[in-house]
Amino acid sequence: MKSKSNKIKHRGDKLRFVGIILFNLVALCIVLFPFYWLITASIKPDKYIITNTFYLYPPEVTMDHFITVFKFGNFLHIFMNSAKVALSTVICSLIAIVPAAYALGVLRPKGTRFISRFILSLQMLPGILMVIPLYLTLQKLGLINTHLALIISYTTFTTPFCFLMLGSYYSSLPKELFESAKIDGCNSLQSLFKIALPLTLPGMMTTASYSFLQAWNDFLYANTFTSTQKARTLTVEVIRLIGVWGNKWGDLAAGATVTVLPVILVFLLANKYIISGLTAGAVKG
Amino acid sequence: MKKNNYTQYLYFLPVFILIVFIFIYPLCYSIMLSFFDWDLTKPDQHRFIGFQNFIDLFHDPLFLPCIWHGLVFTAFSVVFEYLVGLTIALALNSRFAVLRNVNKALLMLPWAVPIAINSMIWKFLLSPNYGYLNQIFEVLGFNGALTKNWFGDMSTVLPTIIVVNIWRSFPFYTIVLTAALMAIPKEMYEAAEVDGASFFQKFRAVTMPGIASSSAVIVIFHIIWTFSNFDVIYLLTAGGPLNASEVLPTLMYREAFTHFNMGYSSSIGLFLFIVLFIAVGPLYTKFVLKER
Repeated sequence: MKSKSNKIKHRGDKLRFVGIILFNLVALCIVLFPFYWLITASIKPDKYIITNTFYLYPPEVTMDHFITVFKFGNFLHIFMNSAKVALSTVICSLIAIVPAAYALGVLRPKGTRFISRFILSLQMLPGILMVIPLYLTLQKLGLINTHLALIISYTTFTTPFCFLMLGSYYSSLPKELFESAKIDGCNSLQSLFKIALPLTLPGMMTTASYSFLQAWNDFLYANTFTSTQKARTLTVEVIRLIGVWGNKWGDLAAGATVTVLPVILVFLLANKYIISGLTAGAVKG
Repeated sequence: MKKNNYTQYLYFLPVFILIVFIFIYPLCYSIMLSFFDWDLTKPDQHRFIGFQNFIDLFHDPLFLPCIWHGLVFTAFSVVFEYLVGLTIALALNSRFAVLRNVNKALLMLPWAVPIAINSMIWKFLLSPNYGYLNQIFEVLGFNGALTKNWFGDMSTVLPTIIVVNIWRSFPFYTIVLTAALMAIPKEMYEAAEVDGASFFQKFRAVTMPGIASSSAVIVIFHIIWTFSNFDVIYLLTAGGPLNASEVLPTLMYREAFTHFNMGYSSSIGLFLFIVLFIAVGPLYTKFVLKER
């Protein structure tokens, strides 16, 4: 508080302070209002949703929408599908990316520069371009309507970004660490597990939360590769229900809330890592 | 670790396998498909037809509208996302700003939440009869003039999608630009103040050069992502009403998974990629790949 009162010295500063705070509040309201609506709509009776009166807070609270969603909408099963796909994606992408990032950041064999440029170029490929050939290939392999199809696709599509991000974590580790480990007789695999892994836990958190969000949030691939009730994930189910449940916005909002809460939870817990990863990726290029 | 030991390349193996099978192979497959008449429902009638798919695409009555909508959608989205993102980044970077990290986390939510859910919320908030926006306009007395069927009216659909897309995407700019602004040394501003520079002079001489390279990177990525964006438009309007918000990705998806014309659809995808490659490729090499 002391530093703040020091900052405001003049009358003009006071005005600017108020201006910035007001602007900030307006921006937050615009950004957050839709989520506020979603969560309140999921706990208020339908008569307060489809109405001409604006309610700032729910006049009456009900859990009916959530009961409908879990009892008749089979959301527990679909939630588990999403969780299974997202967590498997996280594990697969860590297994694939950690060794590659270690080679990129620490070992740097000949041609590393070319490899990293090549992988970065892949980010130019639009995801929509891959849908058709992937669909035909997965169909041939009999993987349509399986979660494996989604896990493989998500793991690959998050690879370029995660690889470069984690690679930059590895290259920021002091080289002396690995040199002295080598003198002590560690081979490269041992120094990966004993030295690099424990030091890059924040980087792995970033990679994990990024892949989790990508896998959990995806609509395009999930909608194209899975159509059975058994295999469907949350985003696809919510979109399908808009057509089926029509104007039952309370039930839809409950379904959407179930979909969004894990995202908000992961994001609020890991936002420090995600934000630092995103900025490192973009600022350094 | 100077000696070039071949076992070191083994570390790239898992990533390499994934990329070959899910990036390179499908890309080649897609290029091949675009020269074929490939109806998914008639597996015995696939045949090579040369450039016919591309000729058909250029004669498609939806081709020019799709390009135009895509350009409008991309240009307005990227320009305004950048302006909104930068304004908020400047506000957050001001010495009067409070709770910067909480702010950043909360402002990022529209970007972190699934597009499927965002689009569902906006479909309600902007619905013609009980949507909140129309209700607000009614209360303010604009009934009729400003209460519209935002997604259902051919004249308002594209601007409405653009606004929703800006709401969803600007946080990414804010986060990146805040980091870039923080990296500008405070001494540079102090030196400029000593020289008597005004706010705008400081912005031009210190702030703009400081954020130029990160700005280039995010703008380039967003041009690619926006022009090839499928989810936002598909989930809000699916290209309607009457193709008023149709873009190449939505056209492509419908050709593939409603009409099962895999060959024609692939040619749309390839065309989209070539356009992006020609338009953004050189900038991509210059700004994104340069430091690698």
